[in-house]
Amino acid sequence: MLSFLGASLTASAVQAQPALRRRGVSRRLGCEPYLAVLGLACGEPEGPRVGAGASGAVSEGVAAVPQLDACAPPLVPMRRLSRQEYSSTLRDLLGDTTRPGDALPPDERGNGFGNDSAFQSVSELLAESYARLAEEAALRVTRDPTRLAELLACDVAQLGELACVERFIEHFGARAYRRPLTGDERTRLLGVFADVRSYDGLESALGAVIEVTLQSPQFLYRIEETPPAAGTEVARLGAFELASRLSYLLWGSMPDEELFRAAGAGELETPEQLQAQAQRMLEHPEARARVRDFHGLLFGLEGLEQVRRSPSAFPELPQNLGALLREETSRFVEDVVFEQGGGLSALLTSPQTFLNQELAGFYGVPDVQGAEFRPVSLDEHRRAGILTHGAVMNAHTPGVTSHPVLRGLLVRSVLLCDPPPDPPPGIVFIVPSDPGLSTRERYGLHRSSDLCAGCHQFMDPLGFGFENYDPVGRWREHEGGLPIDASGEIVGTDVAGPFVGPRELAERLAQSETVANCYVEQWFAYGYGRVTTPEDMCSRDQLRQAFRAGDQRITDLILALTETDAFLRRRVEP
Amino acid sequence: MLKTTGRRSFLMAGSSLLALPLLESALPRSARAATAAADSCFLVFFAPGGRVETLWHPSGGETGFELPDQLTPLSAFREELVIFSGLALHSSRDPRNRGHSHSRGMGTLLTGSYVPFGPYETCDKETTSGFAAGPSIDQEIARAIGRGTRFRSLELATRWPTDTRDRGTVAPTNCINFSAPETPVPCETDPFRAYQRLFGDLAGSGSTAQSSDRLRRRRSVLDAVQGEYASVAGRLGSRDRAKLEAHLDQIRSVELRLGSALGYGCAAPDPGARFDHTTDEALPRAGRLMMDLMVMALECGLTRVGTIQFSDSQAHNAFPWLGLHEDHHSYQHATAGTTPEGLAAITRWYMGELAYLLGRLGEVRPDGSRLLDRTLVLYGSEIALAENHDQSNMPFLLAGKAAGLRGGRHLRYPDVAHNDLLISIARAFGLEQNTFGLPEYSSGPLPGLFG
Repeated sequence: MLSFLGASLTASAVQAQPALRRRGVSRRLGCEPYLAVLGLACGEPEGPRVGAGASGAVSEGVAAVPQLDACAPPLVPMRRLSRQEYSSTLRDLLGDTTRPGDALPPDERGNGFGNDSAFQSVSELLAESYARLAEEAALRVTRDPTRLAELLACDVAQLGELACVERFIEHFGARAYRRPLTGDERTRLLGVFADVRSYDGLESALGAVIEVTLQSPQFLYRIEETPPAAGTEVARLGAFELASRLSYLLWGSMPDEELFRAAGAGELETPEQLQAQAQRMLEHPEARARVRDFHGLLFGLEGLEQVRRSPSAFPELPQNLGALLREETSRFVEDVVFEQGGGLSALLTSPQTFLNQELAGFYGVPDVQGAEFRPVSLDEHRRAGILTHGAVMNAHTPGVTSHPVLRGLLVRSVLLCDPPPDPPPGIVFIVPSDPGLSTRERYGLHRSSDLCAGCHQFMDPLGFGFENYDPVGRWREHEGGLPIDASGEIVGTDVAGPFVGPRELAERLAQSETVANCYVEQWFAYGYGRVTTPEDMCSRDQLRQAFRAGDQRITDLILALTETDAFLRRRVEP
Repeated sequence: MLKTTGRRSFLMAGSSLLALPLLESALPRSARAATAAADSCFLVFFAPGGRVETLWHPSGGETGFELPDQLTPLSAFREELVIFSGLALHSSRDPRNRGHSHSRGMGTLLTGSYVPFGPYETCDKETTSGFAAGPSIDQEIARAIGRGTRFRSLELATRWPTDTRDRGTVAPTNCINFSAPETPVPCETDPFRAYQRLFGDLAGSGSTAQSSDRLRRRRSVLDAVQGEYASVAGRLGSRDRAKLEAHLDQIRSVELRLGSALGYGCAAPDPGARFDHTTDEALPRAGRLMMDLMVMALECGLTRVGTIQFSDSQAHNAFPWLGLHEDHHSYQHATAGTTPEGLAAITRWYMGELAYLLGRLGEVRPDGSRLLDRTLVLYGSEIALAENHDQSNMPFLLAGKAAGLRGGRHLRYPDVAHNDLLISIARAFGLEQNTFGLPEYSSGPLPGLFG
């Protein structure tokens, strides 16, 4: 009776959730004892399947023979702009750099990136916020004579008010709606201008036009309506629809003038034309912001600036440590992806990073002066890629002792796409705080109790590999007088086996096909604003192949995202 | 634009409400019309992490009890409080539930429903969860009594969300208000933005003529916007059309409220200088600002239903002003470096903040009336004892005099589903229902709560 999010979620998206979240790995290898106790089994997703790959096992290489039109994407609800996209779009449309989207109510988490079109219900607060923000944005433009003149781009005295306004509506409307206006739209926007102009000034009436467009579905939603060929349910996207898909994928914002021009001139038709546009767009600074944003969200760094540490336990930390660490990791990611042309391997293993004086103190690196960040090569035995960054360790270690469970969980969920289930209700396990015990010993029950070990074997032994990092992410070789033991084990996956220390762990993960496939899956979710479904098998395989072929270069993967069926085509509701 | 007529009728309603318990105490209980007056308000006060059982639930009789340690900050309101023992989140144990007990608690607390399958949390379809499968009590009450107000309901949250894994988004671990099944109501988290939203127009309203012009212009804009929705929706497939129509409904709702009159005693409060409200240290100050805004929103008649939410069920925020520098969650589980006293101190502090809210509502106005006399405040948490995720013997409080709540009592129940409490509250606000949330956990209103 109760539908899953009412009508807004496709049946295939429901089936797809397990495909994203769960790969069946832990279940096969021993999470069952615990699940049996609970009376729960992590079963395979129900419903129709499109071959073996559709059940979602990332580590499975080649999918079964696709059925007819198995490459056709699923039915996907139309997307609304996320808060981030709303801010960026207003910036590019109106030159408004105030990040108005920050004042919208929070997005729903959905696919984990807050942009999942299946999870975008509209509250009254949201509708009201759109109205208020549109009013404020319009005021900022119309009260500034220079900006207003720029936007109007017409001499009212010479051409007459109405002619100027008609030109404004034509031009501004097309940019706001991201395609040329229809005749009806032109008439309605002119209508609201005339209505307000009948009792108020020119600026106010122009502002009203802006306000209407900023609240309209053509602006707030990514409306795609190019029909399919007769007798089919899958349409290739129209030129302007493709332009928007490109710009929101690569920039998180509206198309620029060149992209609009290309769409209007029919130059988004051939794969070569699309490739050239995507390549051009990837070289734009906004693409860098997008890549930083993806990794910040993926590794859970959102909100790190707000984390405050106990001053008694950590007396010597910089006040703004969270912000500094985020900046470091952002610069690192941008450098790996764009400057080094790097792959997943560099992201996971490179000891190169960027520090300023304060952070150098945190990392124990001498001779870095001043507030400016500069490239630094860290001791490669101590630091290996993004997992070992202060930001990541810090964000996943609350409290005053290291947390192998949460650190292991991070690797398991974010890099292996294989999060274990939550602990059963009613379990009381107070981790002993005896200072004579090492962290490993304190979590001993997770090994000795079958109930715990069933699942914790997939987390704790991964997390032990990070024992050299204290709760805030600094290197240590002793804990309470005891030498650190950073030996661990990867259980399950294609890189199973024991390891010692963070570098060995990172290098092992970097060789894993499971990790590479999971990384592809995460980009799919972020880039397309949804999760994979069984129908996406072809697109997913295409992405995996492109990623593999390009030595796992991240920019290759991003470009490949613009070439899949999931990107180029759309299923139409019958 | 300030009307006094509405205010006068409110006052009359208020006085008849006050007289009711005296008159009706002579009547048999079943004959009592325990329904709140037309201007009554409903507030939810949420703080995560439950309580320390022995320090929260009183011992002694229904009226002859001592307030235990954690409730002492509320001693000034002893006679206006009903303290509950023995109510349990049975619907959170329903086998249809998915996800962790913290998020199940969030989802069931105000809905009495369950938390169905969805994409959140972990594992596969068996343990990932979505949002609650039913609407929450505050939203149901708002639907019934919030029609004529500027805001149907207000959801204000402080130090939210605390879990970096939520990435700043609405998730089952951090949301307790639901307007419909699986439809979370996002909360306002910035007190200055909330101030602007509530009082921005009032503060800079200028002359009446100016504000009526603005109203007219807003109507013009929203009318045109609705035209765009109708036009686009007509071209879309049924699913996307439904999505736009739901959006359009909310726009209509915003337009309907545009011209709502403001209450008589209404004045924009002074939010003070802007400060960073997102840090742990700022929680006391930001929380009080939120409560001040809520109280003034009720005073102004901007809304009649609201939620004050502190933190979320992950509770990864510290309480440095209490000398507690680990996150609340660590104290809940008494992990290394924390003490059980820490958890007790945190709960006591939250009870002190509830006392602040009741104090603000209880301020006597020049005409002798108090908001508290026509307000019902519900305190709840998502869990009873976080340490083992216990959800029996939940900490619940009711305060205020709306619908003639018979305060000064500690009521004990033999493991009764909290759905019955929700039914009682719903009925107090005129919702004629015998179940709330899942019917199998609803036996009917708790007897004798309201007089």
